[in-house]
Amino acid sequence: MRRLLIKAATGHFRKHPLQAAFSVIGVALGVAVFVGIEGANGSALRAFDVSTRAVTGRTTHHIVGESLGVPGDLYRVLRIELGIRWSAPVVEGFVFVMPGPRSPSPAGARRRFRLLGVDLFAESSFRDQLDPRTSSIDLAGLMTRSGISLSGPSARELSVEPGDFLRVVVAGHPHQLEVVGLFEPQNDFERQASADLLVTDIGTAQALFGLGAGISRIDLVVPPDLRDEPETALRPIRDALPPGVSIVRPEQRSAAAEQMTRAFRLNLRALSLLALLCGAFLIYNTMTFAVVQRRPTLGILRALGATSRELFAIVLVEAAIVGALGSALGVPIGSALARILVDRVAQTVNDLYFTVTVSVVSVPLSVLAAGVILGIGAALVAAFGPAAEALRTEPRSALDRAELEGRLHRAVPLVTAIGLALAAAGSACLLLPLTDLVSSFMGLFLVLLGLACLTPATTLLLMGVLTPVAGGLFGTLGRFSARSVVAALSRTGVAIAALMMAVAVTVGVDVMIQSFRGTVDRWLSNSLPADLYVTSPQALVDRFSATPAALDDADVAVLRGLKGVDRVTTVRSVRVNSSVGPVQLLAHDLVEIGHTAFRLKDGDPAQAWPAYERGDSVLISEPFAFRHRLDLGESLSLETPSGVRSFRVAGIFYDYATEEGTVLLTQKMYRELWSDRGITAAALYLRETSQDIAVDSAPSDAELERVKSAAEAALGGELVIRSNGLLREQSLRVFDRTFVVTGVLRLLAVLVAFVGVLAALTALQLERGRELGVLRALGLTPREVWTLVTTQTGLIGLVAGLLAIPVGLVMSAIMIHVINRRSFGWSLEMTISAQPLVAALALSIGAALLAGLFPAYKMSRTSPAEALRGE
Amino acid sequence: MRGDPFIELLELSKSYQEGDRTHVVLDRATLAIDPGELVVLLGRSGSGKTTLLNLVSGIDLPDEGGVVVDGVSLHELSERERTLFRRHRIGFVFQFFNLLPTLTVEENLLLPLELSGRLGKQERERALELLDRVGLGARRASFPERLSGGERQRVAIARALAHDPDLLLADEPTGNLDADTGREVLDLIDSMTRQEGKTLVMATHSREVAHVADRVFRLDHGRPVELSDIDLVPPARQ
Repeated sequence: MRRLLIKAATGHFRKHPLQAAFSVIGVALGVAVFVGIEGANGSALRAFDVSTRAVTGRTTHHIVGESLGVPGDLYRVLRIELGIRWSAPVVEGFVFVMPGPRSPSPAGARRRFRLLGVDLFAESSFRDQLDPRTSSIDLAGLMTRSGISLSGPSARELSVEPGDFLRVVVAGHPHQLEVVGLFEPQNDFERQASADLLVTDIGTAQALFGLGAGISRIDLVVPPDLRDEPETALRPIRDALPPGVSIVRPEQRSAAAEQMTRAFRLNLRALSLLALLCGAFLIYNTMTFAVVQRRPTLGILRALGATSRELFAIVLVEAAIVGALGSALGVPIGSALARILVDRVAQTVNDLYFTVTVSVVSVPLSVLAAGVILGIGAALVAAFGPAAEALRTEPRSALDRAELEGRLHRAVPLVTAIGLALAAAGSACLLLPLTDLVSSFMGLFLVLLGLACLTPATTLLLMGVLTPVAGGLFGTLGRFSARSVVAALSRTGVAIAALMMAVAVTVGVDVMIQSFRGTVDRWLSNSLPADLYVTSPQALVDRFSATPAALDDADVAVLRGLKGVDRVTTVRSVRVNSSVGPVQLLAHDLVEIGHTAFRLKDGDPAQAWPAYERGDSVLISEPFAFRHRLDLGESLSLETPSGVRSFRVAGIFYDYATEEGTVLLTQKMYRELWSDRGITAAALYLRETSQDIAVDSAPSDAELERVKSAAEAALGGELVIRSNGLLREQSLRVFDRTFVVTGVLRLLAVLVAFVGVLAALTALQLERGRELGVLRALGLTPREVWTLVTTQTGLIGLVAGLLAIPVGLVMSAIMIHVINRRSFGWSLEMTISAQPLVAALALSIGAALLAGLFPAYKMSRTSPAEALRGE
Repeated sequence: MRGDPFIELLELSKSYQEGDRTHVVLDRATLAIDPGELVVLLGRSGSGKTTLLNLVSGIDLPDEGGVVVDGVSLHELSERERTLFRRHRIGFVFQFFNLLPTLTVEENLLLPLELSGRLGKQERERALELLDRVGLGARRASFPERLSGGERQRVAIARALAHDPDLLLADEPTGNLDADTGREVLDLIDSMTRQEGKTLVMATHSREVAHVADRVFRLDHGRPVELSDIDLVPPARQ
């Protein structure tokens, strides 16, 4: 391309570097949010994958049962009767480790570890942790002295050395275990993999978890010569498996983790793309300005013989450069953001899905490349419109501004029609009976884009109302300010749309979170009828792993005997295999209380509860029904030790505890079928202290504390005993933690929009320099110029805020009723309060005013002589 | 015997930096203009006419020397004081009309009155009367984009006089108009300022404008030099 042509055409950005800088920052922020979120998500998933692989080693297959594990006898059958030497038994679970006496960590700061119990004789071909070449483990000590080993870095963090004793809490019971050796990770992968790992002898682990002869699983390494046809090798094993036990491949665990968190990650990704969308608006804005302001230059170039294609290409190349610079800046910011976000993402994953410790944060090259491509792509897409505008430039020196604006005003009906069409297409995506999330997000984005296209028309309508108001308040200058917004609609429209979009995201997310929180709060109030809840720390840690029973019938009898305790109900929570895969089974012994604690969404309570209590039916939670497409009257088969049993679905209850969902069965039936008398948690109902129903009959804090202390003293150990108030508070705290990342993203989207408005207003005021120069010549003081510009930016903020409220509410309705349902299957009640709407309006006006400060300052400082001289 | 001058330029100097070079626009310029006088400043493009008007209006400040208007030393005033002086005492007519596109003709007209805080009933009637006098009374609700160049400049003249200033500054008021329209506009400026008894300083590069002036100056090497009638006769007729 010709050098002088490029120089003439691109002189604008050299003359106004700030405008170019705003665009670059907009892209950079958008790309940074995307890279940050993907990096944090990916790091959390990789951490899970890595730690899974650490305990998997060279294993090719796992033999797994339900959460009660695999009968220990099965290993004997495989090893001795079938002669499968390539098998090894494993006991795995989570424990808490207290820091050593020399540790700088506070005494109460316990850390969660994965405890792996292995058979030292069968182990050598499976895992490297006990390899004598990389470890200094006293194997005899491991077996004979109930010793444990851990990685060197973990030992140093805990300030323990071989020979020291570690305090390990299992199922609420503390144990002192001797450190008999350390294994040293050889690389970053191993360091991550062993960050939360304790290895011990299988016998020790069985004793700690109270499994008796039971084991968690049996690992298999199919010999290399049999790997071509593993099924042939595995067939005799399959034939020997009892009901409820199956063979799975190790990668299925990571795949399950990925599947489990898919909706969560997709939601975050969508939010990060929303930030990029705001960034794209920003580029569109700047490129439009750049083209419009350069029309005379472009016209002259056309008159001198530059082809329209050359001008089109120049604008696109400029956009690509802005995109590339923004991406180059955004990628390192995103990598840093990933490090900030990863803890929050990992916390949510821990709270909602599975245990993971992220010690290595890395953003893969693919994510960085995707960020760069998205940045440049967004810039090119956004610049396409302005480039087409440049393409249409007539070969004459200048096009009248008024004519240009007039053309845009005439195009408003068309833009509105396009907006309505986009919104209709988006609504179709949302209303069609589809279930996939990609179509839901596409629908959401189309609706948002469609509504953004309505901005010019709605701005004209609103300004029609606001202009007389501004005139009444500030006289001719007020009307001047208001009309300037309409007169420069080609510029203000985009700024309003960008700000509206960001504020709408805030309204949408706020209303969604508020509705969600309100629903969960009401559900918690309803489903926590007891006064005190007793469980083990493990039950709270990882509901998807083997959960040893915290209590037994004797413990419950003790609890029932405590002074002040009226009733005790219990639940056993286990994972069992079913016709739809592994499911979380809750075996309750509650009867009439359950009727209020589990509110039915589908099913007639008069029929559902008796059917459930008979034991031939189950109740399933709403997300479970959604996930597995199960409806009332259909059957669900559960694998029990005594064979597969089919249960009819008698009711579907509201439940927000997990997105995986749960199945409710009577404890009586569970005990009969599974022969497991363990108890995961108990609920204590205290005696009412007052007979007067007018008086609040809830037990006093002192009474709760007294019974709690009595229970702790009677049961010993480190059980978790919480009042329903505390439990509710903690649950809501977890809920709030879950939305911390969302909050950060929302903030970043607003930041992008803020830069957008700043860029738009700066460019707008730059363009209005001559007008303001005239006003200064007519006697407007710098302070009045300031007021004028600020009134205009305030109006832009007001219009954006007013438009953002309905758009935000539409967005939240889509998130609540479509995205959330298709992601998690939860019914949420939409709650709208004035607070987020008022806050949004304040945010919009505040952001616009703040963004207007710089151009207002700049214009008020510009010499009128300079402004009148023009560019 | 002349009385006190209305405008005095006292050894006025102004220069601009252009890269490494300093471009001197006004070099110790001295001039005195009487009240009610109509003065025309001639000069080629870039000779410093606009700069001189900017200094007289207080829009710009001199590097050296000073400007006194009606006894007020503008160069000694603050930015705000100069702006307020301009607001109340000076009217402007520009080459490119510079009407505010988002205000109607009437609103453009009333803006200086509103700025000076004198938008009463009487003042409004007087301003609208001015609009009638420039022949655009029927177009008061129109936006500037609907007017021709000549009409826009007539509105600008009415606007410049709307708040009853003592001094009218016109910068190439016919420079963007065809010859016939330019003459009409010039006659209008002449008649209206004389009727209102205003002082007028008009910058132009057109010698034809000179016939309306009481005195004509040419900016020569940064200084105003008064031209005689002989100087003003076009070369072909001399």
